[in-house]
Amino acid sequence: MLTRFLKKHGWRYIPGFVFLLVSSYITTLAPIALGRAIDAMDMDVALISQHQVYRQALYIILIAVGVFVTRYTWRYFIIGNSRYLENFLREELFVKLENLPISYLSKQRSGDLMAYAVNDVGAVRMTFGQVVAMSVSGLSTAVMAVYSMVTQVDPQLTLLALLPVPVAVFIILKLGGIVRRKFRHVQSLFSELSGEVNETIMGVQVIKSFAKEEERLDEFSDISKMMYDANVNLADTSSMIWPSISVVFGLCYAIGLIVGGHMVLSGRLTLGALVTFNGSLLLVQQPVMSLGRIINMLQRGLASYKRLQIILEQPGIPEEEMQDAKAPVESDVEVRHLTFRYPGTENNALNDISLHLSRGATLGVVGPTGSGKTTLMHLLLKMYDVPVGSIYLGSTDITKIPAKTVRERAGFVPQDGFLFSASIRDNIKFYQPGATDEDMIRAARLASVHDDIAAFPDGYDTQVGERGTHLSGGQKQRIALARALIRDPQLLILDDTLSAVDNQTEQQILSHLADYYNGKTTVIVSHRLSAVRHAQEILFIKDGQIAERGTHEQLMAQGGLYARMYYRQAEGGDCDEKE
Amino acid sequence: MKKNKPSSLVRLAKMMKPYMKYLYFVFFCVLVSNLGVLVKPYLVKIIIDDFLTKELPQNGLYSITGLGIAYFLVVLLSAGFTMAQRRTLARFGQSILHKLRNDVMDHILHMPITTLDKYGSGRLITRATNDVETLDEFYSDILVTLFQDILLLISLVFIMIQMDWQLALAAFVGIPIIALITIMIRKVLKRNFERMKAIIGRINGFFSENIAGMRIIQAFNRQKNKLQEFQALNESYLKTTLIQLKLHSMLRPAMEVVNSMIIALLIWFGYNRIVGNFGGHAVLELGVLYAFTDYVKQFFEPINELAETYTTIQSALVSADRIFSLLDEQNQEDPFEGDWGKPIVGKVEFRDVWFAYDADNWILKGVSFTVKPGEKVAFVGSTGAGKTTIINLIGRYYIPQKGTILIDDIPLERWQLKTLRSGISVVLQDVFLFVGSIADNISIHSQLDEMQVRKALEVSCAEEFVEECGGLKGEVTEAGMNFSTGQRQLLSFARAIARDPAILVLDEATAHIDTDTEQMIQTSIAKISKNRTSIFIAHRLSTIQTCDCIFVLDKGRIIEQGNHEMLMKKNGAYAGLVHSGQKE
Repeated sequence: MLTRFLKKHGWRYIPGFVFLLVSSYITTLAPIALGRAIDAMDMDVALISQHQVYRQALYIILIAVGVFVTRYTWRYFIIGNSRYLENFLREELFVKLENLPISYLSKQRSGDLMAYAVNDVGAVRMTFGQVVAMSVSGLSTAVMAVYSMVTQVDPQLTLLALLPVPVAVFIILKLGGIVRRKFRHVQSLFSELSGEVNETIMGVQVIKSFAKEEERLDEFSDISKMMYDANVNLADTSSMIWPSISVVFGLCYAIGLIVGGHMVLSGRLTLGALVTFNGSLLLVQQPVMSLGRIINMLQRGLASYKRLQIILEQPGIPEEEMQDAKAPVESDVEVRHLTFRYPGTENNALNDISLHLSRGATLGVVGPTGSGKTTLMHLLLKMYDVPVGSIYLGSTDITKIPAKTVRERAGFVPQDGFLFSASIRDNIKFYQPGATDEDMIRAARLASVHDDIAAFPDGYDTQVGERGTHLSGGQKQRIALARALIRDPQLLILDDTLSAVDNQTEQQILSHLADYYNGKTTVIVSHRLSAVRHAQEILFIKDGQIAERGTHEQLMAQGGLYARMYYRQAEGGDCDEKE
Repeated sequence: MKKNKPSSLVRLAKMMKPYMKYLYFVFFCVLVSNLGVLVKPYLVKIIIDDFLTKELPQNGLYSITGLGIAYFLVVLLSAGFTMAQRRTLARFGQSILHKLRNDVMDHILHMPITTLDKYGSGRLITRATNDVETLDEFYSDILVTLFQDILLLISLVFIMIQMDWQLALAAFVGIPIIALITIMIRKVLKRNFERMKAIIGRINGFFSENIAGMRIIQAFNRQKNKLQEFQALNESYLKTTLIQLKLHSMLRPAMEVVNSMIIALLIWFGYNRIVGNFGGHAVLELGVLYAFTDYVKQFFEPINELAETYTTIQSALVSADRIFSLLDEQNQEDPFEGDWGKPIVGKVEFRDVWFAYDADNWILKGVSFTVKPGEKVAFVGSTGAGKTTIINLIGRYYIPQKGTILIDDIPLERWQLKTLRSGISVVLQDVFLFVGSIADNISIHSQLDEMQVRKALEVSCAEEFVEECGGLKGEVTEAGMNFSTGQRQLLSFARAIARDPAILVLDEATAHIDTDTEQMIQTSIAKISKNRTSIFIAHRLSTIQTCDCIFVLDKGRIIEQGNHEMLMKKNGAYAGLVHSGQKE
């Protein structure tokens, strides 16, 4: 999944690593220069060479400047590249989401999809930036520091003083593992706690109406206490890491001082060399200290990388579906013995559905929840893989027409009236950003929502969404309808769109549609029979099959499911319905 | 804003009071481990000066070996205290946090619905989670960092002056430069970081919205437009992160440069003193020079942390302000709560009740009615007529401005809130189910035995599907999404009657459910309203024809009342509503 990225931005790693190695090398020079400066002064006053002392002082400054330049450069290339990677991955993910078939998306929880974008992209960035940089720079600095200790100071002293270091590595790996485990526990408790907060606040009215505030608080308090325990427990372990590493290295320093000190006394070592030794030891200590963080980030990064890989390698909507093509214009829709099963399920969602929608006709679809009405609508829009030979536009099999073209000619209004958090204007013009305000108002009028919108203080500029005006369910549905109507779709699909609209408004909208949309094909899915009553044909779908079909009058005369439903809705169930 | 700051700080400090013994111990630990930081270079200095340069005789512990061991012991000691410090600090911070979380939750649970509505659930959730967590940083980090860093800086200055005041003054030249550069870079970093946060917030919002709306985007072929919008955001985020990176990459190396310049200065200064250029024969001890190079390196970290602390304190104060202003909200639901605690029999009476949610916008204008125990009544009327408000008043979630509401002839304010609400079950339009088991959702923290729960499910026609969903232990997922709307409704009925309330108030759901489920709900309503006072807020007229009395509300007044036949005969507003409903 990264080949494209590496092709485009991978070259940055080359200068990055070159500068990084140079930077590590220069860093290890600093203790040497300080040691030499000390040596230059550690002699009889008469012998001190001013030139030598000043030169070392100058070196010390130059080394720092060198570190500044090289470090800045490698960070720009390597860490910066991880930002490019983040940018690349996020876009890649977004494009993927846009191109994943609805059949796949509807199976995912939106929280999980969000986690890809937020956590996983971030974790992969850290791995390719910080982890790579810290491990390479840490390792190279440590190796070079040891090398300069061996060459500039003394091999035996180096070996002796570094003897405890493996213990530090061992401790950090061991404790690090425990800390990670405990940290995961804290995290899971935290999400439990947040869940409890969420639940309590969302359900506060229920809790109050049952007068159970105290009981709920006790439950919350228990989880909060568990959180306390887990955090303290975590701190008890994590508090040991840093001190124990510093003890191990404290031992290294002490060995260096005692053995090195005696070596200076016996003349085997200069004082400056001992100073160099101490400074270099610090350069070894720092990478060891960061080992825990590196492993932590690496583990998270790898796990995230795998998750991202899975979603990015999901087959998307085939490209040919997204091409523009000439559609058989204003043609009839024909469904022939359509049987459909969602991938991965065992039962047919639709069974042997046949229907003919001639141009300008209105089709009503009714039936109980879960009977397959929405599935049929989605198939008409090619949201799922339509079986070959079951849906035709004119005489062309819909599978041969790109999905884009199929959708281009349709206006779809979904059940929930989903709107984007933007102005009402942008939401209605969503379909056709180039549309004029007149078009917009015309569409809003058709959807009987213009007056509502005009009554808002900000009119069409009213923001939809959390901070915007609170729109009622019916208003949202009607705005969603206007959004579909603005482009004069040849096929209008209302998927139970008017469920939250009151009866009168519903009738008003239907009569608008009948007047203005003469000649356009309409499919109306509804629970309310009043919405489909005037359709040329009404299908009663039950368990994925057409149970009854005909006009309102025919179906009423038939006295079957439709008629029963009609009577129930007209009269409703009485308070003491006997059934 | 400025006026709030000190008070929030004071209140943050007050929260610590019960746990001060932890904090004192932490400070003590800091003191000891801080000493370690100072002593270590000093021990090296003695080794260098006394034994390596002056080559004084070693005896006993006053020797290279002795001091080397001392060095290790100091490390050991400060490591021990550092560990103790962190452990104690965790207890200190977590104790306060635990307390604070409980306080906030307690407060939210006891706030009047009016206040809850004012805040909205989203903000309340943020208060109880994010804002509290932000304060964690204040108590577990900032406080001690502040103490530690200031202590370290002061003691560094002190020990350096003690060791060699001239050299110390030379070294201190660097402090203002370090501070200045740090503060400047940090300032820009912070501003840029705010921008980063704002953009990433928008990116995440964009993602979540588009995930939710992907069906629409695909149905409308708008992938390209949305992608362009996204790319613009993504690109601007990249730009801000690169700025952040550049600044960050500069900060530490820049400090190294300043440090090195100071060290070079010290060497220059030291050299000139050794060769006597500064007059006198003030001998420079090389050990001191070495110790100073070590000390100088220690300056950057505390200064950097202090500069950062300033930012974190600010955000902690923002969170503190928010939490405290929430805790300042009145949390006593009903200021007039009485002590009448007898079980409710079931009579409900409104006497000339006037109510407005805000100021002059009267929702109820002098509503009076009486419901006798065991009667079934319904309220009808168009949206905004005040139907739902009646529910809010009966349970005393809101208090009417004028008039009296009586239950069993006792005014509401004389009732104990707990008794009142236990005796009145309210079924709201939107059913909220808690994550957990079905049984949990029916009993809602009450001590109900299995029989009672089963009975409630049976009466409310929920038994059948509950059995299919794993019985009483069956799982309820977030917001009850694993049940259909109709099933959720039935569960809420079971929940309402499980405790056998004397009064049932039912706000009919407006959402259209398919007819079969609708049928079941109607059957269930009939069964659960038996033998108790039942008040229906009806949105569909067909469901209420057998009620003992129907009240027609219009613009906050009752304009008609009587049973179905009477009202039909009267041929007024009610009959009009019925006819317009049947026409379709």
